[in-house]
Amino acid sequence: MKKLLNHTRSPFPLFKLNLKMKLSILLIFLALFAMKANDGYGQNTKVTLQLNNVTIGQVIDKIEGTTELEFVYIIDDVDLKRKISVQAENELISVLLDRIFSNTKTTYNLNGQRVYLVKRPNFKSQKNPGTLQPKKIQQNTVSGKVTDENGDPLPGANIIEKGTTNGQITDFDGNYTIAISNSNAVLQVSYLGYVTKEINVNNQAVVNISLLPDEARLEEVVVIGYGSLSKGKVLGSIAKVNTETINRYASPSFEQTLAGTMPGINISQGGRDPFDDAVVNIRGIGSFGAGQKPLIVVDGVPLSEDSSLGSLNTNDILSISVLKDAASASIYGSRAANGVILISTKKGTNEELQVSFKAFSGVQFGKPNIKPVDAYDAALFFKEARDRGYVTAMAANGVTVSENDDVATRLANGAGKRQLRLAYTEDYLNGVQGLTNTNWIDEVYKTSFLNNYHLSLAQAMDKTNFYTSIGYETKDGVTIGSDLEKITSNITVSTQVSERLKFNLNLNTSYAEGNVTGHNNGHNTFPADPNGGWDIMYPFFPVRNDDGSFAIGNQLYANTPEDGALAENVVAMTELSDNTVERFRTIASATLEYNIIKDLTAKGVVGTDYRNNLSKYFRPSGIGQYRTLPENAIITATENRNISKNLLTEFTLNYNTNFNKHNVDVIGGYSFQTESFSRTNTNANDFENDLLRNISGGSTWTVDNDESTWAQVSYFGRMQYDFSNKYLASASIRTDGSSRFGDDTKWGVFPSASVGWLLSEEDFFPEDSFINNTKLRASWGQVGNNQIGNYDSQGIINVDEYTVDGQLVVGNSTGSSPNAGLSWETSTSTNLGLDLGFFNNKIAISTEYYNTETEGVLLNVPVPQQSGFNSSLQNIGAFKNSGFEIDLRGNGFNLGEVSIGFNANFSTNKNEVLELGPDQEEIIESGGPSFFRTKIGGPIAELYVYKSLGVYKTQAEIDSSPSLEGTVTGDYWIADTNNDGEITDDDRVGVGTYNPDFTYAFGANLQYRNFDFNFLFDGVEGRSVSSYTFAAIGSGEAFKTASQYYFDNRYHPENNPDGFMSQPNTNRSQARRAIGDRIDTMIQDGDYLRLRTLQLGYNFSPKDLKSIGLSNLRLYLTGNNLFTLTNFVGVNSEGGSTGSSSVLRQGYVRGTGPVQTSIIAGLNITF
Amino acid sequence: MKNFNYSTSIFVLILCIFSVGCEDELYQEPTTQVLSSSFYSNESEIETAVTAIYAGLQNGDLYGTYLPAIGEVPSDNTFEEVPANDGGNYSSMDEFSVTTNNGIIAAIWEQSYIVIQRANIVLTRIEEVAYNDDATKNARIGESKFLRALTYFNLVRIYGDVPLVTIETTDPFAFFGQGRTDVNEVYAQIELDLTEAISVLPTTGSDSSRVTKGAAQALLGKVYLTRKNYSAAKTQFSAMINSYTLVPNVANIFGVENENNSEVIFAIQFASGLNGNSEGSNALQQFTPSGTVSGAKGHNLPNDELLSLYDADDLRLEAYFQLHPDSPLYYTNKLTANEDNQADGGSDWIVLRYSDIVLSLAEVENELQGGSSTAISLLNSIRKRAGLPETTATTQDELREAIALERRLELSLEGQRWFDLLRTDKAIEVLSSKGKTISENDLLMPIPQNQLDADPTLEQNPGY
Repeated sequence: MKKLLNHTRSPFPLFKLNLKMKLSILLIFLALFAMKANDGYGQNTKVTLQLNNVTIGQVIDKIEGTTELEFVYIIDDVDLKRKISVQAENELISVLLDRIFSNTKTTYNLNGQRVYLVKRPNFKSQKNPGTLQPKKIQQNTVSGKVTDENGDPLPGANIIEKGTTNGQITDFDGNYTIAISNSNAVLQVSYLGYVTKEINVNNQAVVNISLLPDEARLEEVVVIGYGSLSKGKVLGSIAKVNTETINRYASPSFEQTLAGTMPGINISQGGRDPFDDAVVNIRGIGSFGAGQKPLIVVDGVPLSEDSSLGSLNTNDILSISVLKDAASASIYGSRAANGVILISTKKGTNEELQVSFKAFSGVQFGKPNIKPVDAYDAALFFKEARDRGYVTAMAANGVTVSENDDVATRLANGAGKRQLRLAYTEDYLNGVQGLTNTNWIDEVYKTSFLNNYHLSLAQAMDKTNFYTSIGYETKDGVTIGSDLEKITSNITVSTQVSERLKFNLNLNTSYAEGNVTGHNNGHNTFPADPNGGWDIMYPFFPVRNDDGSFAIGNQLYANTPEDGALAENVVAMTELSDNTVERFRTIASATLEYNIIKDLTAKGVVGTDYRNNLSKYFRPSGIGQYRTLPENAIITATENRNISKNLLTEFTLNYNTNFNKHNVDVIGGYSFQTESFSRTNTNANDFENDLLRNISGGSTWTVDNDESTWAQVSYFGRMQYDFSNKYLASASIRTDGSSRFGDDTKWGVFPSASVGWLLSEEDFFPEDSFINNTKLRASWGQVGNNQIGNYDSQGIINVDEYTVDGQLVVGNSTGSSPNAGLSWETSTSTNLGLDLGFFNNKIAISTEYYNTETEGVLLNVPVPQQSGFNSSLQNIGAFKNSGFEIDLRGNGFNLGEVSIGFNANFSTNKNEVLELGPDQEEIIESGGPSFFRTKIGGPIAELYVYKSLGVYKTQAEIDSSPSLEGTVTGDYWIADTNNDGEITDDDRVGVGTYNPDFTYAFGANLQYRNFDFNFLFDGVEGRSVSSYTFAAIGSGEAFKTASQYYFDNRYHPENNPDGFMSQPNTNRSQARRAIGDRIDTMIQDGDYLRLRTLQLGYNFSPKDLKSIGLSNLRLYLTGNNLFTLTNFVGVNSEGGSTGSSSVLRQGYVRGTGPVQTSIIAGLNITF
Repeated sequence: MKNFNYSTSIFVLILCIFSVGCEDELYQEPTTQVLSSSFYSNESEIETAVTAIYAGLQNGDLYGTYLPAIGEVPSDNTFEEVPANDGGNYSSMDEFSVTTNNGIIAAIWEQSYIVIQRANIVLTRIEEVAYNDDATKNARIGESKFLRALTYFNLVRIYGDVPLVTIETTDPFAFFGQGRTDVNEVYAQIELDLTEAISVLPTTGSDSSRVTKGAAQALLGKVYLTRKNYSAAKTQFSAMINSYTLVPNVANIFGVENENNSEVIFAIQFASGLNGNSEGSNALQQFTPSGTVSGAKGHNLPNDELLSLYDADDLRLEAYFQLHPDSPLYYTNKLTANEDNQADGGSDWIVLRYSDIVLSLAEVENELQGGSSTAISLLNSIRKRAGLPETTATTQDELREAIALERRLELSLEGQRWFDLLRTDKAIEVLSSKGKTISENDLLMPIPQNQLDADPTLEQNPGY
């Protein structure tokens, strides 16, 4: 910030910052960001004073004490020791200030409740304030008004004729008049906290100037672990999102707001319903053995590790910091390996009571990016597949048959049921029009509605400030049978109990209830989840009967004779079953802060994160199930209760001082955190009827319950030092003890160190050049990952019951082997950074390179099963992650009256496996249409499949090339990649990973008068995906229906001779089948470019609003995910990190919902 | 500064109190699970460990479904109604196109070794534990050895050479590179276990689910028969044959109401409606024509040839097979359906049945002495009960054929036929004659791919 004004070489006030000034600036900022209340307050304030022979300083204190005015000044600019006497009786403050400061070097500006005392321009002797000494050569005069982004005047702004010492400042209405040397002069306009602007006068007599806040540059405070730091002093890699960005617009979810905004942070929406959380991934895969979730800390309370941001209301959040590098995160020790997300909630900052109301409503919609065929094509597809199945199966038995054989002949030849034509499709095949032709995607996905209201009250009073809010939202999912209703509230109270003692309380509560789509209750009543159920529904069957009731069992009954997919109407199953969730959560903390002596503060915190989840499921009678006719189906109910209690106790001692040019900040602390978890799952069976739709209606029950606890004890310390704000260094250490780890390895130590150099602060650094900020940073640190089960280091006895004469007998056996040496994964990371600012920081570039090596990866190593175990958890693997990130931001550019800002980021991440289990070269996992290979020297979870050379069209082709046993024409022609003359598992090849080569985002924001507009694109490049749905309706197996993509590209000698996908065939003997699926044809390009957000807002001018009693009114429109460019055919390529529990199968997309587009209109009102 | 010292002292004091108190919290023990470190220390705990061996065999991966299936599906007794069902895991066994990724093959391997490990734990620990009654302790040792032997017997017949483990695992990593043990060595262990079991097992178990001396003798006899050691087999069969009798009416051998009858030598116990419906078997659901009842898959259905082999007067046709009203296809009647929950069938799975031993002894007698009258009378005892006339076979070859056919009819769908074909070296001849493409390599199933991936030193069977 100093630079900002230095560069103007202004003869006017140079703001050298002392602490008080910094605080003042912070206050100004907070006030500016907040809605301004009572604009005319300052000017109209009347003062009564009776003071004799007191210093100016005392006068200021007195005025501050008796009014709500605040003085902001630089000590050098005000002669505080000058003694005067003041008598005022209900006098306007401006009149009084004129009197006090007349004929001094000081003048003032009033803005709102603040009085800025500034040096009188060109003060030499007794001149009138606010005017300028006439210069020798003076040809022109320009005047105008300087305003902020909302059109409010900026008093005290500097106007300088560029290249001269000629300058002026604005008066309290923001007006200025300046004499300039020539009519083409350039004016430089600067104001604290705003981006300096240059304007060509161009012979104009009146030049009005609007400044934009400089959000990024100023003494912006970044929240770090156990403290905060001015942005200029940050040495690690910390991404920050501030309130402004979060709250200007609304979006359907918190994560949606953040997606694409920060380099190195991937947020993917792969869930199915509003209760599902997005997956946040910081700098690639953090582990492939333990958990991958970042640690989330809300107001100093580290949340449970399976937490998400979902329970928080975006409107209550003040700032988010993401600690990306190990050095920044290592103060959180053993839990920080996946990065740390620090969230601060809002506080009361305004002296006036501030009432703010926000509301938005919108629609959301989205469908899988894959289409099933219509009924007529489906009929042909099933016929082709079943005929081909019959012919090839019989041929394998040495019998030559004809496709045209009737049912009796087929049965006589020994045909299986799926080698018969579907009798009921005859009319479709004959082209009879007007038959049932259901598009099940259209039945399962719908346009849904969002509503969101948020009311907050905040005030900073004399010794106490508070912020309270209540939020209410409703959100329907785009999938039938899913919705959410949520109430949140937030209370923050902070009070100065005594001169030294400060108390702070944060309480954040949320309650949500709604319906989910089948998967959350662990019920495997396929296809209970409509997201995974539409592809098994045949288009020949209706959703509803003519009378509007659900068509039950049609597909089941019709498919019984030929064993088509025996599935129940998925819409009926969803709508007639109950599947509800209730979630309650409180995150709370209380802090006592005691100032022991100057600069030394002790702080004690107690915090909690309490969660209570209840899920219920009920399936009534009369609806079929998979392979179960409606009359045979069983009524069932489940109830699942989860409670987790997380308690934190923490003490820190902080010493912060500066002497000469040394700034030192030392913190030491102790923390104890424990969490206990309990779960009870009750299944009820043997219902007499549907009257009680919950577990109480059953007559037999099974209950299983589970409890567990973990505890962690930590000691930590950190020292931050800088000399002259130029040379910066920081070091921290944390030691964690965790109950999760073996007796031999309870404790781990996690150190870090970082250094930085603000090159641009050096005297030799050229001033006034196009580059004005340069910072070099380097950091090194170690962090751990402790995300394993609570008792994984201990051998557990399993229960496996047996029955004797109809009685249950308990059996016990060893379920896992103990490992007293089990310990955390340790990631050692180096981060190098370079920050550059150009053109007075109008353009800021930040680049990072990191390299992280993770050792002792907690790997469930598959062990030889003759041991009696399938796998054993060991600290055995190693891998590394490296990448490059660049973040570019520009603001303060102008095109006429339009001011423009832009941002772009780019990041790469590459991982490499360094070590696996003993003698283990690779781990191969199977998942859907791919194998996944994790091999030493290669990436984690590489898709690993056979290569297709098209399909065999003639027997001669089969005979002349290596092929699998039983291969028939129409099957995939598999490449013998290792040229050994046969097709074996060794012919599989790696075809990319889900982890993309790079991700990028770019956007811009524009402002024109009261309008603002912005957009953001983001994308990934170099991602491969294995989609369950694509393969399930693209394999030609003809169990499920077919996708249009498959149908159009399938091979059939007559109907589609140019197709490149295997011929429909129900006879998929295992040898051929395994390969038919796991072939590169099934692997897709997951790249996309998406318009994440497109937003338009309008701020009414405060002056216009005053008459109706409002201080701020803003209207906006937002569109999210309005379009996506992608080659991916499937449900949603972003689902690759959630579809499967194991990172070793990352990229297997299953059980995900579609990309959701939303359009939202909202308003924000401040009273 | 006085103030400062005072405050600091309090602060430090609080810190200390908390630190000391909290570090104890780093030692957490599960409250809803038991730790293995303190287990297996007394009689009742060892008793539950023995029960766990039986429970392991009850799993769907073994006698629950897959062992009954693997004993029949590759044979000439059954067919797959919907070959594509269950990923072709069944039909590929029927068609001899099994791949190394076959889920059934992988499941049997894994669960068998879980059972063996449970037996190993008991056998390692029981010596140190005092029992109130030594006879009970000896019985448990015998039971564990029998169950271990039975499991290895299944493994060698399915996979050939398999890794042999007879100790409790303390470090799973110790098994990397162990490799497969020659079948002869495994058989030696099986014979040793059974011989030792016979010496300590009681003639009647403490309850009907327990392994008895007779069961061990019967199994050892069958092992010897498989090894073509006929005289040793005869000794074992002869020693136990009088302890059991044939149930007079074939309709009363199977069925939940007839469990543990005089003909049952050893059965894995199942029951419906217990423990969240987890104590039943879903074998029948899998082995019922597709679409007829909830979840039915049409696996392992008797084929026309098998049905046609039953004489019209054979009482077993009706007793052993049934028709569903919605299907023209027959399926097994040796398991009883649970109408409320098809996946929770209550029928025990009979591992050793007296008529199996009668026919085995007949076979042994005929091999030792062609056309043995003992063999003929044993065979006739089975035929007579089935309502059939005495056999006309007289020569060794005729009798061999007649006994094999009788085994096929009497023990149909009991998981015996495939192993009988293997044992008598007839698999290729018989199945080729019925249009199946089968080679020498198909006689052994592949080692599961996941095991080869875990330990690349394991060698695959030829042809996979």
